[in-house]
Amino acid sequence: MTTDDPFDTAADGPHPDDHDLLARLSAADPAASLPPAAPAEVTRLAEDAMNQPLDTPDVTEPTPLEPRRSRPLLWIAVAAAAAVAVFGGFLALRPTDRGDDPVAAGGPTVSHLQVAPVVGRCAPVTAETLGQQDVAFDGVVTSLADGVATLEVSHWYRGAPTDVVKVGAPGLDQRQLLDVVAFEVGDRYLVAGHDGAVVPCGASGAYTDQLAGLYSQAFGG
Amino acid sequence: MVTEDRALRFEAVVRAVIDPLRRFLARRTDAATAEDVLADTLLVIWRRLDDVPAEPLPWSFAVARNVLANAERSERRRQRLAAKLESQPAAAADWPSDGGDLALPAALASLRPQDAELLRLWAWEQLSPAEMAVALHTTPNAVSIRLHRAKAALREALRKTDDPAGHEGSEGRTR
Repeated sequence: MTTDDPFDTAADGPHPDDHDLLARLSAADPAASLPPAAPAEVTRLAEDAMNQPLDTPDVTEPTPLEPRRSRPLLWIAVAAAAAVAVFGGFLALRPTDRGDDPVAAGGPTVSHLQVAPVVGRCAPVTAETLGQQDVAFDGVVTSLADGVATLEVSHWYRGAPTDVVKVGAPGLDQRQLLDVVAFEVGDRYLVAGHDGAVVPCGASGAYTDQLAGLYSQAFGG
Repeated sequence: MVTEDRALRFEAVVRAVIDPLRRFLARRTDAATAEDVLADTLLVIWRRLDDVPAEPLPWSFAVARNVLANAERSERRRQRLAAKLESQPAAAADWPSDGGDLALPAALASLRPQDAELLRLWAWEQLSPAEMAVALHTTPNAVSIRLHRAKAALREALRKTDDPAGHEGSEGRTR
């Protein structure tokens, strides 16, 4: 699909065996004999999609989230990524298996997100800022203990899917965890992460249709 | 709500991406899942039409990867909950069985999933590092480094799994 030289990909130039490797992979392409879609089929697929409701708001008009009223307002100079970077050495560790094998091997797969302290001011959460995060999922808290909230994930918007995500760290002051996201067992949450840490300031929070709409805009369902 | 202009733009994007997407899915899952994931991917493209970049394909691959990952995850959970059977790996695409390169699927399967995916995007989707970066939500530089390592890992795996009797090169099949 590209005119770029497919061999010109190695950081230090093409390996002499790249052509052989490419030829061998190409020869084993499972889609090599797949015929093009018939024009009528293309039309049907396009129409099927267009017949679905456009139930997400216009991305050019992001809706700021209402601030949480039940908790002290914590404002952060968003770019949550920047906050995470500042405190990266303090608490934010990379998840142990993010990006690793999501294929089931007999039990639920688990990934981890850390929490960074919330300071500064929050900017409104928009689909644009959400879209810059590298992890996003929808899940229910199944346990909350010892500074760790365990969520069973029902949907991954972005990131290597695992069945379970553990947020926080054993021994972490639970108030610090709950200041970032007010987790409660049994409740459903939308959680965004960047560089191994939860994105705070309303970007992660209890499931609402409004927040879900922003996640859909940002990550495409 | 749905303007004719929007519909025309969508149809143009669909025509540009549909066959690459069908091949992309045929390489990664079974036919029934591929059909479902294709429909859901097109729906995401329709709903996010204003976000579709000028070069829609790498972006569409990113959407399809996400939809497929969720579909396979749901299927694995269903399998676990249904009968506590031994978990099955996600349904693999149909590999050529007509006397083709039997060592290659085994070698590819032995790699870390993210390495195998890079190699697929490189060899089968024929993406440039910049395009792979869009598909994988990373940077071209990271792609180049990881791809370099993935190729080395595949070479090593092939060295271990190659049938000593042969299969050292392609069987002459080309796309």
